[in-house]
Amino acid sequence: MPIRLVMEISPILLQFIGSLLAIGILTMIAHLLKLGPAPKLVSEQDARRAADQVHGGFRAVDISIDQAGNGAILRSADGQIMLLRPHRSHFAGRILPRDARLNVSEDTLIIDSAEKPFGTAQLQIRQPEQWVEAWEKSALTCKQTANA
Amino acid sequence: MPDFSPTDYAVPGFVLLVLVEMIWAWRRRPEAYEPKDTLISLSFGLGSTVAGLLFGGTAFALFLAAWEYRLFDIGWAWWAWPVCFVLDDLKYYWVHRAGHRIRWMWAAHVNHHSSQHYNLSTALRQTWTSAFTFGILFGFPLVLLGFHPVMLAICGGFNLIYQFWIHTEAIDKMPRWFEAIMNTPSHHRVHHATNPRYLDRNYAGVFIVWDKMFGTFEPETHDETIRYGIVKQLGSFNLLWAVFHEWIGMIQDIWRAPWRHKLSYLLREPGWTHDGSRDTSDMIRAKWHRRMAQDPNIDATAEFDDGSAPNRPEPGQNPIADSTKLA
Repeated sequence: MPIRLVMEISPILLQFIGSLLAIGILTMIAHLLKLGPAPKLVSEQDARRAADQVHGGFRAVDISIDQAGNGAILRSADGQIMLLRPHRSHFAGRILPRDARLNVSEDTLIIDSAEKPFGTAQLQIRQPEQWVEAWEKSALTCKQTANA
Repeated sequence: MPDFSPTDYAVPGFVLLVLVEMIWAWRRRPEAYEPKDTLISLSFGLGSTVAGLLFGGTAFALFLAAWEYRLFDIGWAWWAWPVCFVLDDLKYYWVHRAGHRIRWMWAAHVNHHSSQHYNLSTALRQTWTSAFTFGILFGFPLVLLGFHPVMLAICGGFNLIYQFWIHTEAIDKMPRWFEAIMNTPSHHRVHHATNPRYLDRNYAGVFIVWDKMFGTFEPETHDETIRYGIVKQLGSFNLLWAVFHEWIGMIQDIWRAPWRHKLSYLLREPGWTHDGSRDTSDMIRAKWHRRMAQDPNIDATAEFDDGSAPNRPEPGQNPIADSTKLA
């Protein structure tokens, strides 16, 4: 009975199931081979390079790198603030929009990018509250400029 | 009339070659693959075949109806096959170019580019939503010329199979004569790059000569490390977001735009905005040229290797702490 059932399943469905199996197996092999090692930001130069890749010409004047190298926050001369966070074997980044939120929990800076799929990031840096202040001041400046 | 789909037969070969490339990556370049990225790319591939089953029939029926009004009876003569293949590849060049230069078309095609990796699994990262663009229109001239839709489908299938192997970093350059005529891994790496010099270049499918003819060719240089993906990287492995993000962004832009600009958000190039708040690929390239003209040595690595940077914090250190710079 089961054999008859399998024979009756449409070839398209069998193809679909076969493809799903192949996808699962290839993904598992990639895991087993430990492909895609996670990169670390170990120096300011790394962070600058990654930031330039996110936004060509972004020139950071201030940089804080996460203690474990899992991301960084950078400020350009014109006051833009960029978040770099790991995206598996690469870094992804965003220049933070006005509705982004920065908070501090103990020695961790928590950054909500205001972009749901991009999500939040946590950076362990010294005196993270300084970045929150910087962000609030820059938001105030923008508001004043807009109202002028 | 032949009843044959070349891609169906090629799928096991695709799987095998992805496996071979993974082993190469394991030995030589572990960063060339990433399991979650591979999972997303392959899921795109499977989803696109489902989308093809759901929507492909409509396109085929329209082509068959149009074929009734053909100018010539080309039939199934042997010579028609190579002619059809070459002309179909020319059509591919233009539909692909439109896929990068018209946001409506880009909304579907962006899926193929949204991986930050470049490997054989990226080749299978195919769109689910091409049926919702006007890409089909590019096929009508060949149908009306007299090429049977089945012949076009078979040639298109072989075109797609050819393009599989060029999605790799495992091959540097092919022999010079081959690089001159055919699309190769080197040419196509340029196409997938987000480096300003490479943006919107090398649209070819099989024959790179189209890019050389129409002024969109850019050779790969070894002076610059290629970065893959899209200008605004997704930063997410959510499959549905990856499929629909550009459609959502485009519809939001159209919704928010003043009436006289709405159509431009549909038909102009990706990155165009009525208020100049974002950059198109041409603007990104122009800015890069300006930066290069000011300082040819400017790049993120060279600039800060000379020790001139004002702050050199160690990981974890906060350079803005106790400073008044941000006031």
